[in-house]
Amino acid sequence: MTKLIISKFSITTFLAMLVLFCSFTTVYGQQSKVKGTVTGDGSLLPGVTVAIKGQQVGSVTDFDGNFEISANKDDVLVFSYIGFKTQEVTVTGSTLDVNLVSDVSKLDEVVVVGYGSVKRKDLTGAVSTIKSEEIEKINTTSFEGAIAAKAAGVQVVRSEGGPDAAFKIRIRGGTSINASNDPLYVVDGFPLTGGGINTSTEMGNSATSPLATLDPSNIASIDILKDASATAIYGSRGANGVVIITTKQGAPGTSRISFESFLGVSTLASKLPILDAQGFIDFRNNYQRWDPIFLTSDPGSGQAKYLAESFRVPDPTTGYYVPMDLANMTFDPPLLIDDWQEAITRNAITKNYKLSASGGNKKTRYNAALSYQDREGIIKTSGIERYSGNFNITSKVNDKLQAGFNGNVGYINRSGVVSAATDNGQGRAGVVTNAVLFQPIQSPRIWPENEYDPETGRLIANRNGDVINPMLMLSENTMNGVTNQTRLNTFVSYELFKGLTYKASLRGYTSSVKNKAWFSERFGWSRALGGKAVTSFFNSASLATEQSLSYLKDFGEHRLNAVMVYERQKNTSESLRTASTGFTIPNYNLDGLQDAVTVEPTVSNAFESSIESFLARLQYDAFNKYLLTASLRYDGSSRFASGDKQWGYFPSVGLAWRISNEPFLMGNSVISDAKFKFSFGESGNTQIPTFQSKSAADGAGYIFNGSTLTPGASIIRLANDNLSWEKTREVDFGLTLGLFDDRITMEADYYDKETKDLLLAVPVPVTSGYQTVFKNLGLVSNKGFEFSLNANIVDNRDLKWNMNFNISTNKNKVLDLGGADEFYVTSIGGGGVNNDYVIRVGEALGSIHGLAYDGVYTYEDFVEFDGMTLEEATAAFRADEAALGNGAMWWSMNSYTLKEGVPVNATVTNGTYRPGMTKFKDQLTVDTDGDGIADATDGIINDDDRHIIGNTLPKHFGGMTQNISYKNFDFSVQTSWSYGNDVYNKTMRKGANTAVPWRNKFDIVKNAWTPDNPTGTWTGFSGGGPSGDIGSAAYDVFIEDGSFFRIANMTLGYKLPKNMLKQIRMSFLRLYVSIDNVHIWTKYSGWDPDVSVGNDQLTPGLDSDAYPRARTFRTGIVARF
Amino acid sequence: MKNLISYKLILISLLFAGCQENFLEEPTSSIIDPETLLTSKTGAEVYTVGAYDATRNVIASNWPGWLNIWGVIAVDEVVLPGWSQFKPIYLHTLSPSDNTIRTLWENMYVSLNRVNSVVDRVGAMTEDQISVTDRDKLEAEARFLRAIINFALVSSWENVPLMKNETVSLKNLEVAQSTPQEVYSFIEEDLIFAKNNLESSQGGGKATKGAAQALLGKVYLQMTGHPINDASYFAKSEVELKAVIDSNVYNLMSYYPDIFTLENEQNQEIVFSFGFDGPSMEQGGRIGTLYGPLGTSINGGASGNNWYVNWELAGPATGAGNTGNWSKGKGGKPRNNHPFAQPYTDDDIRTRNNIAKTHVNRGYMTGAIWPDDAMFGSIRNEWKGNWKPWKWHNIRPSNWGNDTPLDEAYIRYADVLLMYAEALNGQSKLTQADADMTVNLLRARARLFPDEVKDETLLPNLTVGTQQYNADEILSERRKELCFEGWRRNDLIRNGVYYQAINSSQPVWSNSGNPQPQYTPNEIRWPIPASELQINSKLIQNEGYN
Repeated sequence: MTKLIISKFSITTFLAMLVLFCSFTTVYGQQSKVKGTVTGDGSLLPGVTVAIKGQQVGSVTDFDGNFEISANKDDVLVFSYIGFKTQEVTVTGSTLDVNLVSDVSKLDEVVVVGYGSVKRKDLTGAVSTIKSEEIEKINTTSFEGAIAAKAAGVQVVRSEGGPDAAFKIRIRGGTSINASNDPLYVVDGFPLTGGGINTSTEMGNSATSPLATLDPSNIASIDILKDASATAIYGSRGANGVVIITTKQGAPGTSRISFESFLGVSTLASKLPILDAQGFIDFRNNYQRWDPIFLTSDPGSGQAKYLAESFRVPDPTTGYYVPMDLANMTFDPPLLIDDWQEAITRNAITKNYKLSASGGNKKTRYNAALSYQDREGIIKTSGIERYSGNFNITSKVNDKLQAGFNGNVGYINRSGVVSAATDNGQGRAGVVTNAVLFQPIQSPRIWPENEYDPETGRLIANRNGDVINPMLMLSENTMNGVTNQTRLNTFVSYELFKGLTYKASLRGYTSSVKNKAWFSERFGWSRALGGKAVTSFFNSASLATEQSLSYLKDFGEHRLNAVMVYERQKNTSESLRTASTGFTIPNYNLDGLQDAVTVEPTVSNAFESSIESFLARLQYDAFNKYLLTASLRYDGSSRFASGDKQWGYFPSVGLAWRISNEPFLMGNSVISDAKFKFSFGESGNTQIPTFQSKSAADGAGYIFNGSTLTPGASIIRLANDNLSWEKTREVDFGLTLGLFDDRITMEADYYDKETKDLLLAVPVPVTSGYQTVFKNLGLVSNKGFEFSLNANIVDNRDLKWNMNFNISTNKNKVLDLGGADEFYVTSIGGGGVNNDYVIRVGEALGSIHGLAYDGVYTYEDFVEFDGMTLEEATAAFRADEAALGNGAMWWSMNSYTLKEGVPVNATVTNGTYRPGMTKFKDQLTVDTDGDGIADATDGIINDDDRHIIGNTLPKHFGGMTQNISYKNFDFSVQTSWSYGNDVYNKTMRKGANTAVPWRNKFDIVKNAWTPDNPTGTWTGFSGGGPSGDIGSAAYDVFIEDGSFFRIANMTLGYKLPKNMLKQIRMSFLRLYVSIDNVHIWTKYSGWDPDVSVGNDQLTPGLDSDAYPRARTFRTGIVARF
Repeated sequence: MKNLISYKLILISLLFAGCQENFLEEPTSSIIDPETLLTSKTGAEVYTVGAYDATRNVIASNWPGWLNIWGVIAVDEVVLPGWSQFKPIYLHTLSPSDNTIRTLWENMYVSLNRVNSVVDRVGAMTEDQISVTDRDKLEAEARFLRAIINFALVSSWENVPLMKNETVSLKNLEVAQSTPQEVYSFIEEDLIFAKNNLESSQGGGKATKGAAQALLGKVYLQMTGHPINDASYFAKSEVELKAVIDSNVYNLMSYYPDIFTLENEQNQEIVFSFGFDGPSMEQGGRIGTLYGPLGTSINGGASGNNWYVNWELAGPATGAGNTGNWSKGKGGKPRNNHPFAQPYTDDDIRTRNNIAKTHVNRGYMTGAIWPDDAMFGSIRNEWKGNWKPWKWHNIRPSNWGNDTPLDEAYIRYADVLLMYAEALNGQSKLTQADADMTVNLLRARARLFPDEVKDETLLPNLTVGTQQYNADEILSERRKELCFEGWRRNDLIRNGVYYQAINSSQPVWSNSGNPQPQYTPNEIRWPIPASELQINSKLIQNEGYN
């Protein structure tokens, strides 16, 4: 109810403001003497203040940038406008055209630091700022995509390729294991945890940004607080960094209406290397040879005969079956051949419209925008539709009293597909995995264990329904959702006396997410259920209040800025899930859950958490040279055990020395600015589930009398009265440098942070009844170096060339796990693989754990083929095969013995091997000299041979942006890279298994060992028999180098010149064409190495069933009236 | 003016601060506090139901379930295909780091603590909260369930920490192992309390006096073999089992397949079983997945990571593709049936009921009626490679998948009868009359077909002979009657023939491997999970594992 009122209120307010403020278009005028036009940055500037120096006379430019003022000759006119350098021009005649130069000085840039702002030159902490121009260039649905590779020390990884896919942001590395590693987002003062919101229900693990309803083009700036001096002000929630988002505000002056629109076309950026139709034919025919015995008999279950004949045709003369050759044979009726990757994707259209109004006068400023986006996903049927409104108004009631109100309302209607599925088999994987694994050609032979559509004769699912026709999944299954979000902030401030201001803010947030999914009764796992419909709701609300006193005072050479804040926030959330199975009325399911055969039990949940804080910060500047920032926050959080453990202090101190203001550097021709920084502080992390400190029982019902469900309860958690937050201590050394009048600026930082008292799910002896208990134990370290550079290489009147570059390194290391050496983690994607990630003391988070693939056992490894040449061995092996008869294949001859010294596989008894089985590299697992370090192999491949086979954290990453403008043209190129990170290609593993002939394969199987290809290094075929594979382990061959260099965006724009603008009565018009994801250079064979599916922060860099990545061509217009 | 403004500011401050007591307390409306729950009889009943759930979670086939993992794999009933994750158990190549064993160990102790919590907390309730009779009855139910878990623990690992109470503090969590004798004594104590405080009835899934006595009889019988090896328990076992028989609460179902249908799950033959229901109620079991014919689930098949029947149990095959001497294994190696591991004859109703000799998709294609045609009709006797265990019969189409509503038997009356015969034979006092009222009752039932009674010559009655002969016959009968119900491994161990049984195990699938060469005597018990040894310095690994 509250939510409804708020959203109604906000919409009416918004509309009222649009109407109200559009009429503010005011022109002040006096008797004309001097006329002129003011332009700036290619735009006619309305609202520029024009004043006569030394007099109280002034004017403002009108809608078209025109002004009139009565002035005497030789009067000096002062033109001032926010964002531009103030210009003074002497009156010489009756006309005066002025071109204002934008104020690019980064030093005077205002940086939002939380509970206040400072000028960049006064900053003692490490803060990266990204401005709206940069945010608007790459158009992703949520803002995260736009800040990728823009800020040093901020790693942004896209979860997958879908239209509103979530991103994972890591600021200076992951600090925690079981608590969240997501930064705190602060949107116009409202604190919000940065984790993704689930957009899938029942199946799949896709997620979207918590700020997906906020149109990124409404953001004025994003300030990313990185070091402890900056983040400690957010206390118990600051340890993962803080992303402060400030939405656009109006500027005093004439009001302005702008219209923006773009049209985009997205296409599949790359294809996975899988077998085509002929490739699949060859694979199947290699898998099963044809034997004349099939003409007369059907040995075994008939499967061998089917496999032998399904992609062969009888030779008309001999009657013997020969392989199909698509290039040289004709087939009647034609064969059914599909490229499923093509079939499921499309050229997806994105349409975006935005209308905004902004402006104000000396007392009141406002900005309001409404935007609509319709973005199709490149996989058919997927896409989002978003309505987003944003408004911002501040007003000075009088000299002392000021009030403001801003908000954001958004609505997203999403249609999607299952991706990043937890499991596979029976069509449980998403449409992408099914498109990869579903056979690209249908055999004309009917096989009773397959399922066919009775009407079209098309294959629905292969043997046992394992893999499903992806087009059928797209047309039958749905995965839809609706998200509503509202954020409202309001404040009043009052200057009690000169320099001392009291401010009270009230902030509210509501979010409601509804996801619903339908899984068809026609195929797959849901077929046996008669179809399944699931609806889930997730509602949350949060209310925060903040009261602050701030004091600003100059004492000659000394400046003081102090702030004290009392803040509290309460969050509530509720979830509800209902599901039904067994639908008999066609096309009536999701919206008629009650009419199903079985209605599943409804699941509901509610959580509440709260935080209460006192904080203070002091900034002191002496002689413009010595800067000190000190802050202290005292936080109480409900997540921890009642009493003392709920409360803690988070202090920080930052020092800076502006050496460039020392006499010996003043006026230096090269160094225009130089500052050394040092900071130290402590911040915390509270992000664990609620109630973890309390003892609890959970529902545990049971069935009596065959079918009577009886409610029950069972103990699930032990109380922990000592649970408190994680603490991260961080030291930062920094240098900022400006050269040649700040045409080149750079910033370098080194940091060292250590997180202790981790909120760790620590294993305890399970005889206690508990596998893990949340305790404050453990130590994780992150150290890194960041460098960023901004250079105005050319800065002429007509030609401007700006370059921006940043690079970061981070070294993450787990130092202590509370006594344990390691924890294993199993990633999503199923396939029986377990423990494929490890958290191990001395190693980095994100380590992948598994076996080293060593190709296959070859003839040389066997006693039976000892001393034979390759030809002799092949002949002997073929002779053994021929002896089997009945069309039986060599891959069932598990009767060979490995030579002494050849590593054996613990799952296969020696004497039952054959050439072509998977071979692994034996690892050093035996400690012969007792020094605690393994130094010998044991000759057996088993779990002990699993080791770290990859790390998903990059050695360095960064980005570079070039902005070039010539007259009215502008051109920009944005690039990004990551180096040294591994990606775990789990999708490929599913398509590389040569034991199962029914599914399509990756190209890698072309190199499978066979007697005809005895130098093949990929695992040979096996008819469900031992392939030598150890299915429970990850293999290093599926760990690929994920390094990449990407041209993320190229944009070419044209701004209409002044005279043309005047003709069409516009103040600004820019047309542009743009390409997102232009090109990527990488060795990675999957869709894109910038991937990390699933919600588990302990399995980064995972590519399993991921939505593919698009390349987008856009053309757009920005017009201002 | 100034005053007015200050006044306004104070007002605003108050408004925004909104004083509130316990601002930092998390309301616990979505969790259950046992302290507040256990103040009435109703609360105590709810909490006791949780003990049933906990026990079911580890013993029955909410996968992985102890009955299946311990009692069926690694004995002479099934063979596992190459892709099975349970391969190391089947092949006897278990290492202490094996994931299945670790999971089962962990789940066992998690459940044990939950049951202990019921025993402790319900047992500590005061008379103003619950009457003594009600309290003792609920405590007795929980102690019966605790005995089930402890019996599973001591059977599988032998040397296990004995947890007598709920864990209530994070201190002193490292506990040393007790001897098997100590664990057995604790089980005995629990079951005696249970039988003394429970009523005699079938129970519909609740613990009863009969269930407690039957389990006590089973436990005593097990104590006659490894590792206790005390023959004096035969007599104690006899007393308990005789009491169950004499109670007249239980009886055999007249038609064998009727025991395993959904229609009458808590039938007169069920002494204690674990309740499941579904689908989609989070109350489903897995016997439909673990055991069932090949094929898609829509057609009634059990898809997934399942296992194949051991041919040596399955008996003769006559269908297409089964040419040659069925008594020869693959590659012509001689089969090795032991006197205590005889195969089914084709006309034993139990082979028809317990083994699927067909691929359901084929039957589905021909319009077969399920499951009758699979048991009796023309689609039987597919190629042997497709034979699978199939005891609890899904209807077609199966609406269950991995979510089977069938209850899973723990102790059946047939088991009680066979145990009784065994207890008597162990004391050398099995008479022909005893055999007739136990083993021969089951054989007579096995000859009963839907429309006829097969001739006795096809499945002759047991004529009591030497003690060894009787023991072999009883053990063999137990496999035929109780296969896939999870007791075979305990039975073989108790009779001292576990090694011989593995030695005879005959792989059907070329890729299933042969457990026999890998077996070493220490593998009669499982290794203590390595993860547990790592964090509990007081634990000692079972002999022979490292």
